[in-house]
Amino acid sequence: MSVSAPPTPALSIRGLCKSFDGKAAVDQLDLTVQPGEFYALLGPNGAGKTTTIRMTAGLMLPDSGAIEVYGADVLKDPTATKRITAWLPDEPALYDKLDPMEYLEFVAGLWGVDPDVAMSRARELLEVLELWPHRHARCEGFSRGMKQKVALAGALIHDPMLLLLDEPLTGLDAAIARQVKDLLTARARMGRAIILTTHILEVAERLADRIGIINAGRLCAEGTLEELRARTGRAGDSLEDVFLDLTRRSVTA
Amino acid sequence: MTARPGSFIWLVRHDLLLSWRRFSGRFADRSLLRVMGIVALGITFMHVISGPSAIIFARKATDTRQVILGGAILFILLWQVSQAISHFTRLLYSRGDLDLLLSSPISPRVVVGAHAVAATLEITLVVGAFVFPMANMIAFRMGWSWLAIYPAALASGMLASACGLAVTVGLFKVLGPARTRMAAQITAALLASALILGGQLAYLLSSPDRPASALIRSMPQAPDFMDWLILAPVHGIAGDLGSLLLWMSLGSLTFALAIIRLGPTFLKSAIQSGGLPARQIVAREKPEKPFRLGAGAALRRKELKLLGRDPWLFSRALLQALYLAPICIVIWISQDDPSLSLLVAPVLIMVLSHLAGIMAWLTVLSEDAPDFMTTAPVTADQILRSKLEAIALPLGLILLGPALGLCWFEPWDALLTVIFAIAACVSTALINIWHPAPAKRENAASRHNAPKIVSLKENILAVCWAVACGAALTQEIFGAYAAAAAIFFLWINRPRPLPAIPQQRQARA
Repeated sequence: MSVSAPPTPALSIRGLCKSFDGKAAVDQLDLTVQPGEFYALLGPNGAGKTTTIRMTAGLMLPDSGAIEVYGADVLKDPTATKRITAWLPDEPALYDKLDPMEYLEFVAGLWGVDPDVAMSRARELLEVLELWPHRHARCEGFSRGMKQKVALAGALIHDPMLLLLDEPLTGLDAAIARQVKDLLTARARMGRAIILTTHILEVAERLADRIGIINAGRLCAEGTLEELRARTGRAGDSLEDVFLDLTRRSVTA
Repeated sequence: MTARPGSFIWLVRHDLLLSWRRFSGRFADRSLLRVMGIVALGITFMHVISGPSAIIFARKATDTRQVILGGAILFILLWQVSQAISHFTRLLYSRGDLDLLLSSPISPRVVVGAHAVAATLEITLVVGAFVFPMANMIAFRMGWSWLAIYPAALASGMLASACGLAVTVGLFKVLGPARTRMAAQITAALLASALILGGQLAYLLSSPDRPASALIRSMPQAPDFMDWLILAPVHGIAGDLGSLLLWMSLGSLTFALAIIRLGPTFLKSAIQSGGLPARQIVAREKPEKPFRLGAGAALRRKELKLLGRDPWLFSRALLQALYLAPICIVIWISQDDPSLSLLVAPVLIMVLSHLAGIMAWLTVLSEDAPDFMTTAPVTADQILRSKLEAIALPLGLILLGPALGLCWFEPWDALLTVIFAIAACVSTALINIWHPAPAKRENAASRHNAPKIVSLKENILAVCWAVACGAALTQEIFGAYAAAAAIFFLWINRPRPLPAIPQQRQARA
């Protein structure tokens, strides 16, 4: 009888540390996310969520620790990990003077996507996100929600295996937020790993397979919503109650 | 005394505070004491260099002094109008706190009026930095009545603000929000250089039989009452109180009239320009083009599109050409055997090197999405190379036309021009990359305020290469010295240690 090897995690973070001016922003963080998993990273302001995401995306070097994306070391082979990763910040990183099609062509070019594939994906994404009628209008005239949708389309055009989403729903209206959530859920079902930081706990509650709660740079709790409820001994409570309880405990611990 | 919040004075003070912050922000060390120290040093320096000019001025005959004063006032007024146009256009498009103020219950007239007062004080002080030290030195030698330059400059500032507001509103009405910014920049540039260009034109049209001064005198004269009005500031500064009061009344009345009559129209324009992007959402129909492959190509295409759509680039290039063309014509006609290449090459090198500098800054240092670029699977070197390739293309195209034209008449000179132009472009681009002063793309107009004085270095290199080329074309050994100076200057400004493209931003924990 053969025992199959455990699948390579989409993201594996071990002993990650990062400090600014001697103050630890991320402190001995361990985190594992499996392919196809929708992982919500929650925490109060200044907990270290964005720093963790930025180090994973290659935007910041850690002081120590290891980050692997599908087995590839982010520090040793950044190009290989970047090729299969997408990062979406809360403030959309767009070029105001480009239109959505030009932007998607640019992103697809950077990630080396076949032009025909990129073209059809661009059309599909812009149609799903209801941006197709605006595909030739410059982004400078777009609302924040529209810009965020263009940035999301850019993050998805190269079909990343790992999606790092830093507060992607901030400032979006209900309709746009729903479109984005549907699109992300579909991606997770396709086997892509998604890590999302958010302050909107309802989003994490509804979308996430697993939830990690980070405070003062440390992972203070992790599991499904039910597991977290069980941990606090407050069955039936909302995630908000569980979150507040766990972060309070981590401070007093 | 504290002004009531929301009052006119309160708003003026708010605007002046912002102006001061913009000014002090240009210094690396922004402590009040340090900035005041630098300002004091600057004022002292201006007084020292104004001294000899004041002595020369005092020795001139009264008629000559009036001509000099008249020319100076005209120059100052045009300069102030140019500044006022730039100020109001910037207010329309960059907006700053305009949206906040327009959404507040403060009367729109108060908002425009306060902005205009602040603009007037700002442009008067900018001009005053050069003019007031001279006035002080003249007053010291010729009597304190010459301090009338202060109120006269303030009056001309008010008149200029009124004209600037009128021109901006007029352009907006005629051309609409999409074209006003470019048109206003060109108008401001033309006005600022009008007197220099006019003087150069008079010089060019002059001949030994008919000097430039005779040409100016032969121009149609204004009617007597207009003459009196035009000369009012001249007489006022020279000590005629009635003329000074007339000039100040003219400035104040025009200013008040402009605020009352044009203020609401300006605000309507502001609201329209604020809605400009919303109207642009309507997509233009254009055929779908297939995507193209490759990171390098994608980067180059993106940069070329962004450069082509930059609202400041064209007007800055035009301004450079406008300022330089007359100087080159003068140098050209002063030669015993003027060649076409001597006319074209120095201007071309100056304009191209300046463009190379600003394009390098726009593409490499004012990247709109630096974090996003860092997450892409391309190396920093690859990004830099592609960006430089992108700016090489338009520069090459601009160089190609004049070079081919020169090649037809003077092939050797054309080759020299191309070589020196490439050297100049590479130098100014390198200076910008080696001494990065990153900022947002929309701040291109103020990039030269960078504390690293990149602009000065850029200009030194451009001048060195232009002089080297000009000297090489006339086969003078001086050209070799100028080229050597440029290379030496570039060498002493080489980076230590090697720079990287500024991509990492401060972390948000």
